[in-house]
Amino acid sequence: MSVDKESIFDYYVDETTKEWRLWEAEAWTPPKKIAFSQLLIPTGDSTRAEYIMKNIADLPLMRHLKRNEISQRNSLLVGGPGTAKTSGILMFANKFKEEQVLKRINFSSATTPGNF
Amino acid sequence: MIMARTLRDMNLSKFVAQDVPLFLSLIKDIFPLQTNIPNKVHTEIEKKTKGLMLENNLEDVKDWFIKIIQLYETSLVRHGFMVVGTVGCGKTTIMETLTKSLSLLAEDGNPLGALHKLQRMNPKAITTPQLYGIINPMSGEWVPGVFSEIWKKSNAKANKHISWIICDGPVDAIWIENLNTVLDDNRILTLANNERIPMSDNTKMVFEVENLNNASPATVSRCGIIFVSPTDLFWRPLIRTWCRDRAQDKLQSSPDETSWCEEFTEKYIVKADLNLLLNRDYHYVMSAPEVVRITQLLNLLTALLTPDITAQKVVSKANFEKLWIYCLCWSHGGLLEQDDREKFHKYLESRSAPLPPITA
Repeated sequence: MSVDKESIFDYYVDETTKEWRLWEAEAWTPPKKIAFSQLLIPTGDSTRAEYIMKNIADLPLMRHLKRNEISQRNSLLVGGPGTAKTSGILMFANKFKEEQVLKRINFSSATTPGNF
Repeated sequence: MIMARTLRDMNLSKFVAQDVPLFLSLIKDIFPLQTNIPNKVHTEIEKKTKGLMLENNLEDVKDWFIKIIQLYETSLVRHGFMVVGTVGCGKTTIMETLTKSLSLLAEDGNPLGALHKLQRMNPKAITTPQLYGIINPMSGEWVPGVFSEIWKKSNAKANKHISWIICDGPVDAIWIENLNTVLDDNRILTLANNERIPMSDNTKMVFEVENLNNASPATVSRCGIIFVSPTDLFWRPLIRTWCRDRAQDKLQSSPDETSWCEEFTEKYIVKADLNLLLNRDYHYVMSAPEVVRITQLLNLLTALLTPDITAQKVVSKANFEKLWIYCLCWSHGGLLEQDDREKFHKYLESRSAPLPPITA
């Protein structure tokens, strides 16, 4: 498997110029107080996942009023262990506005309604 | 003749799309003298339904429309029926369109119509005691359940409307066996506190399920079945409805958007038979049927075009195609591994898509 080879999946369409652009990690400035274990540094991979999540999450609430259809604004991240699914979501949540909250729910056989 | 017609009309709705012609020829073999069995025509209901579909921007697909009529016919003769079909085949829309058009007919004063109300619930989201109610073993107190309460309300004698209780969730033996007395000719719900609530004529039990793998024959034989094949509707109408919605809401990125959508669908999906290709040569991390992929494509496309629409900028065709490619990649190829993604890239190259200049 050659990871280095580029394909269409490494590109996106720029919002203003509408040109193909290669995914690059967004600029990252280290915070003043560094807790090393909590550092999340964006990569090209995480940035492109975030882009889709953000766009899907920003869809209007209703897809069609007359048919009473609700927009599908949910994202599902699929991947093996350690492929930075959680970190991706955490990075996404870091950019939330004031009124948005991240709620993490862990489902297992031990989950009961009382956990929430 | 009546025999042949009954056999046909009562069984046709249960078959998968491929088996329908087979069954029709079987009927022909059994009744060789009946060459022209007439169809029952519900002129007014068909007209109303078609009008409603047009108003809701729904595509008029023949096979799918037949399902609406089959549902109507089944609802006339049965008090319990199941609408079976895979995800995205339009089960919910079938029901909503039919009940809405019947309600509209009633408003027009047509005796064929009746006011319908839908009560939707997911029986698998709650436990059986929560569904049917339970007697507290300590105090002997009766705690009613969700279903028993809906049942009481829907079966009240004073009701003027027809209620459909829709159980939208997988069928299995745990909860549905308790409904056996309801679904057969007794039509009585017996609760654990010995309460017996008879079913009135204004109530229908509807089950909306994906498959009947876990349903027992006892239940299935008591219900009318309408099977909606994924090919009845398929994914093409989704794109057309999407285009029509946008044209109506004046939310198009360009006046030619509809024709572009048609063109690019032809170019990238239909001509090269992309769906067949994906099913045969590509390995998905998790299953995603055609309908789901197309929905994702349209959702993503909506999202990406929104900034331009709010800024009232017109997107050119070349740019629209780029966005289309991007969305196609992520909706159809998002669930692929790296190897397959490269293969997908090659596929797009072969379709002469406007790809980025790739150096590798």
